[in-house]
Amino acid sequence: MAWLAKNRGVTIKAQTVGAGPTAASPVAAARSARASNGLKEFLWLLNDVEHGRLLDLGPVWQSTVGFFTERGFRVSTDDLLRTWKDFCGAEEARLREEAGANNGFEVPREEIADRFLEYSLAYPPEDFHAILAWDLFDYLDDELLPRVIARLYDVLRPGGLVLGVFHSRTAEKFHRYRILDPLSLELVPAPGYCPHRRIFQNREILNLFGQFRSSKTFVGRDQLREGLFVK
Amino acid sequence: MWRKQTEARPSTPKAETYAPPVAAPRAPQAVEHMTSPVSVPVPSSGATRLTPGISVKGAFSGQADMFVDGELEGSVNLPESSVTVGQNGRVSADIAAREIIVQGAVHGNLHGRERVLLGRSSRVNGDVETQRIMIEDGARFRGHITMVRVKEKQPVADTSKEEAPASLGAVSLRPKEGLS
Repeated sequence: MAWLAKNRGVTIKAQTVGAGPTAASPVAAARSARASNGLKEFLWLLNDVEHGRLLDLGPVWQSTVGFFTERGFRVSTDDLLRTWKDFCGAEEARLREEAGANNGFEVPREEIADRFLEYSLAYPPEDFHAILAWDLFDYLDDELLPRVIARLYDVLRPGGLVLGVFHSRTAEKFHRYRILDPLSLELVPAPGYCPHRRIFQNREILNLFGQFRSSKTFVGRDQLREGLFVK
Repeated sequence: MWRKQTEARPSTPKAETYAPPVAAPRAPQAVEHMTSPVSVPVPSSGATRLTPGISVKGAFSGQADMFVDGELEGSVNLPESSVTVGQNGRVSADIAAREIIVQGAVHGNLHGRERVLLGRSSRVNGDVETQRIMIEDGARFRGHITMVRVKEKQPVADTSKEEAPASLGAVSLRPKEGLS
């Protein structure tokens, strides 16, 4: 799929979303919304894809699902951060119980990460045209992060896309993201959900996604960096 | 910045490459947008009820609506009916129905011929195939969502003719699997 060779003069297909209350109501307007150049580019690259397959690694949202299903995509949702936290907590509890009263017991996090990926992100190779990773990479455990990126690479088709968000400074709040329209995202606070683990330098981001053919970052006024990676 | 770039591209997308997100014709509405909460589903008076504390295992088919607030394992095939999984409901089954409303937990695929509603307390692990889907904030879902266009809708397999009427009203149980 030669998405990168597309003629940029082509106008995006007529598309609107959220003519319903999600996008237009005063309630929605009061929430934190931001323009997203990353999303704009992401959608532009997907413009020619018909019957595409999209994986959303955030929680399921009506607006995001509607946005892509109206464009003919099959949408898959897997709230990876939540699934990981649930899995990790259960595994740790189980292992500690097995270890009994051993105070020096150390949780084998790499082992847990491997076991998690036997169960999660278990999609066929090259199944998806695009993946929305949102605010994920800053929050995943060190042991899991490279494994997840390798798995995302595997399940993407050649030319497939990953859109992720990175913080330039320590995030005060954890947010969930959903699409308002082709140019903007809504940030939904999820306080106390997950601690911010790291701030990536640009070089580190490029290294993490070294397998990918190309990468591009967009820095917003809010110091959020959107990363777009093409397999 | 682009890395490993093979062709020259502008650093940011040009504005003229995008149509403004207004006043464009919309595709047939497949998904309803919901921000306001939907009232907790109340089973119709004629619905078969599975109340909390009851566990049932088997294959269900028939014509009546169904309200599950207990535990159910097996399969549910009510092609002309509405199936509601209440907040206490725990279902491990594929469900095929005209309309499926989930407020509890479902592990299985949902085929709602007309619509599927995932309530704010729902936890669904499985694939959804329907004409319309409504998702309340707070719903937890893991799986694929495939929208079926009206013209392309696939009839839900009706196996009710194979089932003999049983004591549970319009919902029949296969004798071999029985109740647990």
